[in-house]
Amino acid sequence: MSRARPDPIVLLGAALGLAALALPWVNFRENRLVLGEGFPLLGLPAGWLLPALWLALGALAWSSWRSDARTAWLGAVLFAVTCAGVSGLLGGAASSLMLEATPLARVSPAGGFWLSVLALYVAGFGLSRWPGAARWSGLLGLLAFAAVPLLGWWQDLGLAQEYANIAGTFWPQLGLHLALSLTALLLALILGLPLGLAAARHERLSGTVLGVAGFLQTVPSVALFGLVLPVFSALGRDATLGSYVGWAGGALLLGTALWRLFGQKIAGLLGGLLALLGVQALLLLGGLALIGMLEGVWLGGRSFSPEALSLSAPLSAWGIRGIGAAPALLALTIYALLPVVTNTFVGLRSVPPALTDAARGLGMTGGQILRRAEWPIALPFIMEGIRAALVLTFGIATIAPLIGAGGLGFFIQRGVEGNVPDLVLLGALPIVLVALLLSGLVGWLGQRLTPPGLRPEAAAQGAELTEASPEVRSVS
Amino acid sequence: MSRLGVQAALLAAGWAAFFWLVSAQELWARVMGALFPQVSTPVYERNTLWELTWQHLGLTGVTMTLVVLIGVGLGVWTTRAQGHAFLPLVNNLTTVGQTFPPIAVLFLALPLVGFGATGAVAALTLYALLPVTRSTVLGLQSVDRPVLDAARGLGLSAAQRLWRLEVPVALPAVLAGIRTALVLTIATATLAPMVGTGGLGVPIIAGLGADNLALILQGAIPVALLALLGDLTMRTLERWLTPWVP
Repeated sequence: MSRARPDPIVLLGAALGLAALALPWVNFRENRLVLGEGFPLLGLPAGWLLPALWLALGALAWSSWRSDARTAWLGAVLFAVTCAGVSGLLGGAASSLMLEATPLARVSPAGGFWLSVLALYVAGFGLSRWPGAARWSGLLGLLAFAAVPLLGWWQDLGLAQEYANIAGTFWPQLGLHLALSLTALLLALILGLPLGLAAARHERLSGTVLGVAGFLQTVPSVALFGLVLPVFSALGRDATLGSYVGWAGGALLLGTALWRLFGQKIAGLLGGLLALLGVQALLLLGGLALIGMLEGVWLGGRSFSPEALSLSAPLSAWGIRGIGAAPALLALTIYALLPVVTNTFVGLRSVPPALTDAARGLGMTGGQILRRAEWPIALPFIMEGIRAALVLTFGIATIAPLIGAGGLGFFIQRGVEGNVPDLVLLGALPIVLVALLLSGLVGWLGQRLTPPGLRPEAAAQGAELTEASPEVRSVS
Repeated sequence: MSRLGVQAALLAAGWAAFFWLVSAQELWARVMGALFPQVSTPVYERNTLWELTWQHLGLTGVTMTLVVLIGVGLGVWTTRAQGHAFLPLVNNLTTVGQTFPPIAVLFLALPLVGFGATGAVAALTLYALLPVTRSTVLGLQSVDRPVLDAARGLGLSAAQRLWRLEVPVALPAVLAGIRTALVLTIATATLAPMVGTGGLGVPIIAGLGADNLALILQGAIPVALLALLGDLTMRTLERWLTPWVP
């Protein structure tokens, strides 16, 4: 058996883990008004455990016998124990500090803990590239880390105490956050897919369409929220439901008529756009009604009153005002537009012309070619656009509470205003976690929706094998 | 004049117009006062718009300097023999990290570093590093293996290969990454006032809190223009530095 080299990535993880011990592990505050005091891990009970674990993991990464199946097991188990150690020592530190403190005191994770989490990620990434059982160390470590809070051992942490204070509104706000970003995504799809199709079909349009979408994307999100506010403020004050629906419906009808009359000519395309915008305006109303209803049911705020349904009611009764979900929804839709349009365009452009020619030769109509030949090939690209758009809107919805809409940003805003860092974390951490989850979910869905013959898996596997070949050689 | 010259001249005019606009405090007060007569404070009064703009530019400038130095350095190092072992890690971190919403990252840094400019710069830098590092790595890796081998065969040293061969090939990707990072930083820095710094976000956030549309517009219009000008400047720079890219 030849000597394997030390694994530099796992070593880096262990070194980061040891370096983290020099930073304060937790921050202790008597109450909200005083400044915190940092406590290093080594001064806390059982604090020596973590450096011991990191040293053992480092030694394993340095050693030369890692091709052994038993070493792989040892690495995975040791890593899982270290993960549980980091997580457990955070809860333990909180419990020991809270023993003699008042209920107003708060213990928050500090720099040392956060650096340890990064160290765990790095070490876990390195270990999962080892052969054998070590491949599962990432999953094992995640489970071990999560087991500690799930078993309730973080109960003395400020995070858990703040959660207990807002437990009733946490899940509704998460639901509103999701509802807002998913509705925006739906609106962006309804406008973006046809726009992408039009851009792919008409060379002269593509520059304009992609340029406008890119331009809108460049405007900073807060500024965009600010710029759409006056529009909705004026709409809510001056327009009635009847006039709004009338204009939107009129645009839809006129647009459809133009589209039918002129088809692919410029007037027809403009008509199509007009019709789409009419549909958007109507769907925006529907989305607002949905979000308003959810808000009423979950948070018990203003519920939807039947007066809003009267055609002469001002739009503000429907929830269209300067402040609220309406400007948030429109701004998020505008943001989600670019990834959807660009990816639809790129996806349709990636269809080989020979394929569409063959389909035409088979006697397929334009619609059939689109559905059966082009759509399956463009779909992976479109799904990637949907993934990007969803992550984008979910992230930007964080600032929706600034303009009076709901969402997890509500806790961030309250935490910032009241100087409660734990509350800020309680808003920001779930946003990051759910964004990662959604991204993974849509990515997986995209893979499933790709026809088997088009999946890049075979090619990717081949690439992985070649990339891993030096490893394979050193191991054997 | 060439097309590039026209573009550069327009850009210079755009920047001049921008700086004139943010220096015209009186004009803002008069226009906003006329547009929103019911508002008692049509302009932000604690700082002039000029000061706020320079705070924003300062925050963006410090962040981008750090980002370019660290990001390009990291990208070059992981594609050399010395750092090659860390390439998979860097690739993984930059891909996964970009799924993190930038706004959430800004607020995650708050409990970590505390209120103030340091925390804001740290968070902005950390996030903007991702596109720059990623595009540097991708750009440097896009050099064809046989071409590199040929250069080695010609007797070029590692440094010569980097400067004469890899940098020109990677430059368009690196510049595009820097452009993405710049636009992102200008946008996210707008929220930095919430974590205790200044900038053009200050009147926006104050206006949102007080339901004052005039204040919101006073911040939103300049920051939108700044982002667009930053984007255009980088695009012009790309065209000037890499004229071979179609």
